[in-house]
Amino acid sequence: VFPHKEDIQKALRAALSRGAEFAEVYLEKRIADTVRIEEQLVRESSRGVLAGAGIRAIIGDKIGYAYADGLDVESMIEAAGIAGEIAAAGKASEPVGLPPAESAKPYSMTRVFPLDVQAERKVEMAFRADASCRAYDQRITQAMVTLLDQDKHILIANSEGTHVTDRQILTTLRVVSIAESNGQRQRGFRSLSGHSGYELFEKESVEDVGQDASRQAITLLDAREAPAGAMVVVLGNGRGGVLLHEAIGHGFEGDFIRKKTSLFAGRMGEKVAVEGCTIVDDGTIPNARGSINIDDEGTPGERTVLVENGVLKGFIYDKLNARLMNTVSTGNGRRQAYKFMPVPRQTNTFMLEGEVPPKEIIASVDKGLYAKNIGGGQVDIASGNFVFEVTEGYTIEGGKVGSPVRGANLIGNGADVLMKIEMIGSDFAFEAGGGTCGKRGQAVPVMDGLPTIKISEITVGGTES
Amino acid sequence: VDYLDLAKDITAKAKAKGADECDCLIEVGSTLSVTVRSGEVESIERAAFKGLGIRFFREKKLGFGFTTDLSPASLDDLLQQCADFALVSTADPVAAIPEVTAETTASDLEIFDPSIDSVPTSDKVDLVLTCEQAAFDFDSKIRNTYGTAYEDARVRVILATMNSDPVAYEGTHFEIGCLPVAEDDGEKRIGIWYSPRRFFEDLESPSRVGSAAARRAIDMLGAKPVKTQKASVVFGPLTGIEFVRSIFSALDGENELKGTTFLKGMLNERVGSEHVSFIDDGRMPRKVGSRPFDGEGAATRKTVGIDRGVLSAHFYDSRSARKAGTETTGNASRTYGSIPSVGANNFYLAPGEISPDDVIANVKNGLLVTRLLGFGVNITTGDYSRGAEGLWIRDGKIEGPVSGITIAGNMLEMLQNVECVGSDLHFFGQFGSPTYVIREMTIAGE
Repeated sequence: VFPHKEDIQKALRAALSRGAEFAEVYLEKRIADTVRIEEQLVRESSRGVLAGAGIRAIIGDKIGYAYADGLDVESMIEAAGIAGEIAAAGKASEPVGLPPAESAKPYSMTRVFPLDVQAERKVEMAFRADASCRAYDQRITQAMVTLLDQDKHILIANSEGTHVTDRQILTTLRVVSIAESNGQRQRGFRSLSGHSGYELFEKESVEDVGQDASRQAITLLDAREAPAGAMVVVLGNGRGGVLLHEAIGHGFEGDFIRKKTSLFAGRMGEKVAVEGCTIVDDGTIPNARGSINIDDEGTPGERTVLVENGVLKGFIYDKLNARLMNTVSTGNGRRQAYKFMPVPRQTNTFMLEGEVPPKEIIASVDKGLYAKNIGGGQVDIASGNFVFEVTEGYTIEGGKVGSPVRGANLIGNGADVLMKIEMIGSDFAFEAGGGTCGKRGQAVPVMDGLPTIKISEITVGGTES
Repeated sequence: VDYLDLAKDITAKAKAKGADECDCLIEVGSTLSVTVRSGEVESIERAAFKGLGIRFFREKKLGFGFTTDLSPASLDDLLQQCADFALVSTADPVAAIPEVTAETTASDLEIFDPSIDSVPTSDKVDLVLTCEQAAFDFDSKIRNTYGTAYEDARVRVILATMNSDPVAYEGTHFEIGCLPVAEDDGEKRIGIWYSPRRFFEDLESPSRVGSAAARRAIDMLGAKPVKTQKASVVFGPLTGIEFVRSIFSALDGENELKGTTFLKGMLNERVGSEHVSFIDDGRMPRKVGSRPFDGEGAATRKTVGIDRGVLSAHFYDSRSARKAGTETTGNASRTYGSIPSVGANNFYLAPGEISPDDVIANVKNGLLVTRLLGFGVNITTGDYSRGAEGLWIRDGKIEGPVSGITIAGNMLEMLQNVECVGSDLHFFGQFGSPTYVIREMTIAGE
């Protein structure tokens, strides 16, 4: 697939020719197939091919970057020359001779490769999800199903002698369901995703995913408007983990730490969370959506403890930020594709479970909100302030889960929330669907996990006072 | 490579492979981006890019493919794959490749600035450094930024169909932006300002961008939540475009057909106050969203979606128009990597006649929103709830900064509650907004 070692070596030499201290070649060929069903028709059945080279040259903390579409040797070497020219300082240096390319040790094994599954079968699976979504209830009026798979080959070579390849398979099913009743419309969403082939659907069938989307849409038909104001919030296990990723995880990323734009910068060893709270970023979980055999700089995935029993223990780094902070990469240098430079990113981020049965957590709340499912969120790294959409939420009244609510947002502060955790449940789960994290215009697949937790106070942004 | 020939050649090859309709979209261009930090260049990125997408129809069944590898072998593979996908697809009676109706000259639109190549990179680097320095100079509490960047791009778009000669246009894009951090006694606040333009000379001056961003960060120091209450909400252009963007989705003809918009079935009905008119116009000179033709070769035009409060039109690409029994509005949005969908050209809330200062002076009790966070906008139901930061207004005067709150309401009610629209229409990319007031929303805080 990729150019020869000698040509890659030439590209590294070109990138170093104007005095850069470090040069790196990132080659990618990704084949992504999509089947999308809307209004019971195949709206899209497609093949996308992304092939190209991204070249980085670094002096100190200054980066020159260039990419070329396609995998021809000439474009790759030309791009390398451009990157080298940007990061120009003085004399050329010589790259370390490249060893033969080594395949990354895989955490995620694949049995049914997407390219071995007939297009016809993919269409049939998508229609099955569509049918089960519609069959769930008469009030379901629309279903939208997207089945995506990708087969990605990458090669990373650098001037320090790294020369590795990896093959990454990612399979995803997304279902949107629309329910209508008495002029009311509601939307349900469910996804299933992992770094595996089509064996993914042995764990959970396409029908189950379709039905769960419809269950949410139907539940919301009966929902009342969400309350407004500060109150006790119980985050549901699994999907509630999105809050952890956004509100806390981003603040542990090495670039924000080095540039001191994170509120967690310089707080290593300090108590940042309640006792019993341990948070981990782990790229080595087999077949998880956020896992990486190697990151996009060639560093193997790792398990990094961010917070241990309430104390700040670690940050997540790529190579550049690690070097400038006198530490080593934790295998978190990730990029969306060859068109982007790698930046520190989370993989699978989660809180370890505690000992309280989830029923006891709910029973302890007199009046509050149970946020079972959380959708998109955003955080202001500097202040730690965050906002999240609650896609499936219920009131809690007198220690019992009450009626569904819609239109709720959670707003709070990451550092604050960590100190306001009152109970940690015994029911840890990963979110089945995983998510897609956006940072600096780059989207990468991630996964979050959480046991049920109780937070003494978060502001809920509904409309009912 | 002559990309016009390549695009035409692809459609001919598709015909040979059994396509009865086909089009090919190519994008080719180059980009430059510069980021600085603390007075030093942090990174420079430069690239030449290219990509090609093929829509292959056989008996109304679509196979779609795209690639960044334009080598002959790769293109042959892709064509075969498109043909294979078309076989397993379902027939879509309303799908078709439309006639190209665009004229090919774009000179009246002024979307290409030749200075993209003549301004040296060093000048562009200086521009970003000046921008960052202006943020530092604005106040001694600004000592760090979350990023200060310049980027530009030129892109040539080529579209060929089986039945017509290829058409093409070329556009440029320039942008400068700054995200300074204000720090005081451990408190950190981010400000933002950016300026995207078609022409280099139209960019707001780098010192203005830096100081405008810095002012927004400084203004937020000491911000606190307010009590949960109902109050007026004022959006300036920067935050105002986000609701404008949502209104475009609500007027998207495809969402109307699917029933996934809260404005479903309301054509010719009053949906907003008399102060609101929303317009899409692909032919405004020098605007970021202007282009001679859309993603399917339909000439762009001006369409009024909401006319003084009345829903007057939906926006369509050719498929959704055919399905609705009407004409395309030239709103097919598409890159080489996607099939067409309905998207905005330049979409804006039409300005009123009151100056923004007077708009604020008329507010008794409310929030001037300076930043929005999170998602929380549901086009299907109209539910709206977003995190916000801003300045509290009491009796027409700014009282102080507010954060840690959400603003919530229903978008149909928001449209009906727009009570005042300023004269200061300002575009950020394809979306434009003046300052405007929504009479009442729920503000959740303490």
